[in-house]
Amino acid sequence: MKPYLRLILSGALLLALTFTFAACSGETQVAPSATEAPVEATSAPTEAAMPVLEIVGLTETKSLTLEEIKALPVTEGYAGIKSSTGKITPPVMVKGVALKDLAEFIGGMDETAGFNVVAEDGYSITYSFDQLQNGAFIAYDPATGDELKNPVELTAILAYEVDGKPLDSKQDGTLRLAIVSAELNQVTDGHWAVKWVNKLEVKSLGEEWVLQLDGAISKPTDRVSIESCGAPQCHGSSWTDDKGQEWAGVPLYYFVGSVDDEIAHEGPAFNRTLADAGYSVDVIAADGYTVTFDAARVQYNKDIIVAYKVNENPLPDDFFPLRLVGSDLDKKEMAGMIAQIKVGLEPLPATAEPAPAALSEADATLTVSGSVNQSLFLNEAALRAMEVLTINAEHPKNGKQDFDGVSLNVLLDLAGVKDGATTLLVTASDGYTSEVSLSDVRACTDCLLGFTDTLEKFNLVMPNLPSNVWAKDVVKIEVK
Amino acid sequence: MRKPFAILVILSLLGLGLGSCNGQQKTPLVVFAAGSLIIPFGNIEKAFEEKYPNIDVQAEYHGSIQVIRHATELHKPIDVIATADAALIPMLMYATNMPETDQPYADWSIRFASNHLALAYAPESKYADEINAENWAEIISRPDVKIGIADPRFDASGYRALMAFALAEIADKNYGLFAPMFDKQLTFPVTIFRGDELTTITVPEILETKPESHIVIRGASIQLIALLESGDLDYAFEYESVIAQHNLKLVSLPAEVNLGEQANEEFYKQVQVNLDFQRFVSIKPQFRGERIGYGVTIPASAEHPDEAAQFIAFLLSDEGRSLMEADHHPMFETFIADSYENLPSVLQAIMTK
Repeated sequence: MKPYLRLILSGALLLALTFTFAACSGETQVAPSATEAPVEATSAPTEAAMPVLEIVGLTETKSLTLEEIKALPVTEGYAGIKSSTGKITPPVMVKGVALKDLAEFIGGMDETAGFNVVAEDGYSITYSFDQLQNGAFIAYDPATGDELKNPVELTAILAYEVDGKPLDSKQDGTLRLAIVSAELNQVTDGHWAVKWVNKLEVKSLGEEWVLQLDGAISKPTDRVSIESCGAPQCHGSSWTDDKGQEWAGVPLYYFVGSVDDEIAHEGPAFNRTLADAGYSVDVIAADGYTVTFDAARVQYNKDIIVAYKVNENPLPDDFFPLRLVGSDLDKKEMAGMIAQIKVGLEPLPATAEPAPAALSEADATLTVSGSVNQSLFLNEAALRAMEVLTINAEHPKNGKQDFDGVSLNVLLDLAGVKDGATTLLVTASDGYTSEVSLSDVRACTDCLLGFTDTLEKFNLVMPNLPSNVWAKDVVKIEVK
Repeated sequence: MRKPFAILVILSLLGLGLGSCNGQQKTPLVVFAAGSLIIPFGNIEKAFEEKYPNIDVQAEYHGSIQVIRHATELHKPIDVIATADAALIPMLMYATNMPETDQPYADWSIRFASNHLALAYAPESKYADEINAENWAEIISRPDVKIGIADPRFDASGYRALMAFALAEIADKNYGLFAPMFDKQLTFPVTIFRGDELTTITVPEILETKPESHIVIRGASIQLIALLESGDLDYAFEYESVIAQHNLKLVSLPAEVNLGEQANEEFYKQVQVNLDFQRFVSIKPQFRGERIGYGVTIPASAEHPDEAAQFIAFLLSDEGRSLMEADHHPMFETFIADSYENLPSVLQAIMTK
């Protein structure tokens, strides 16, 4: 036999031998799984320009290719997982972009929002602000599986490389989640390690809604306005049911009074003369179910309440967002999912909403502008023509005081804040500016544009917020 | 002489290799099961493999929702799925189609075992000498007591623990049990609403405890055992079988609360836990109270359905029953098939319609 033939024969036999042993090299052989599949060329030229990630912020949506993702700030570290029953997948080096950087890239988020990570098959899980910003994950010792008592600095990343190579596209997709640390000293729960990620979304965790009020005048009224109206020191009222659940809201007659004539807020908003003459009030649910009252029954009746909270939480799905409750109602009158309140009065021909008098920009001493549907140009007279509230609030430095002013949220509602706005930039007459989070203001039912002893001089009254946002001598509020 | 000898050696080695291969080749059977089945299924696996030496059981354990997710969303080739809540199989598998075939991941299941929800604790746990079946809710709601609950988004015992509070309130007509336990403990609240017919507990999208919370949440109830043993927890909601398997102390919960009594089946239906978000592609899970029933099925994506049916038949046999019960896990007297007509014939033969 010629040497080269001998070589070929030997090689063939050894190869056969190798295959023979390899074929039974463990009794745990599983049918070829995705993990054993060759890595697909995710960076093939034809695919490089294809978007692999949709990222949705509060104001905009972007689609990114893998190359564009790689151009973002890089975070790398070691990530491994522990299954729910203790199986450890040891840490390996992974590389990607921190979720907090991606959230910032799409406009940012705060603690009222979540960061939803969605896989190609629709599975999703939402990470909290704390997890993104502070790496608030439970970590385990990779050797023992025991929970780590001392915190390890952790960062959630959208990974595109493992050990210097692209992800195995069949096992992990092009992108997956990983929780990384600087050292090989931790693994985290497997349920955070979402694979095949193709979408990230900053998601507001509160649900907004609007109640349509129709009568002599018509106006849609949003959640913030109603909750502001329902503050305990304003028109809030509550009722406790037979199971100890406290329902909080606003008596129905306030809603009726806001649309029964041209006077929506100030003074005696509920028109007693019209009520005495008689009309009907229909409370209409989203499915059309209607409860009808005589005006006489509604008049100044604090035991018929339009509730927006139960036990301090939004209403459950069966009633959300609003339900009629109260001791003056029987069960079938306690309609839920209220969408509209209709007062049986002829609509007034003119604009009955006491919007602030239209001023020219030059005549205004206060402007609300920016990301709003319409800029407001106001002066003290226009502001005082609106509902003026008096509150007692604690100034961070000066202690408790009484303040008069107009609800900041009412002003924002009048201007119509556009979706995606996050901040108010407040400018004082001397040009000094300060910023306050829009969500903080929206959550603050008592925040006012306060009047002062000096005409045309307004201060922000911001209960429970830091002193730096109690801006003085405000001339402009810009929504951003 | 050297060439024939070399060839002989090579052929001998080849033959040895093939021979050893023939002797060891086994069919892998991938079983994904609830964490509370780790110990009994470990013994089932051992006995099954002794009886069927050509089958190698490869078991993995997770929270029950995660078990199903491995098949329906991570597309793992799983042969047997066993969950701590049989209702999850129709909810998440019947209703989800395989992308390759457009057919559901499963179209039958068998309820084969039950359990009782209880509180596990250690001798050193706070108020260990005080807690009992009457005062358990008050004791574990105390701010200085660390109480462990599995994450209801992943594990059946988690949403059952929430149900226990609602059921205790209904049973005692004391609507002040839920709030002391859960209020101000979480970044986004778990809420309860007591309707006329149904009490609904809603789990938020982000379930995150506050820094000083007395509640400890982990992905699966089995993870709480180590924390109990280390003294990081005073109490944890666990199944009675698991508590017995780990030699922990146990507070039995009243029959109206423990979700394990057939006589209270209707009572349990008064509560429901809703996940307040779209957790899965097309399903917003809602878990109605019912007697605890473990479910088993063979996914349509199974690579070894015949061996899977053999495994289930063994589990349901007298031998399987005695192994399960030796590990304190109660089996149903009569196994209940959902969609009997779709069962593999080998299983139809051992079931009643």
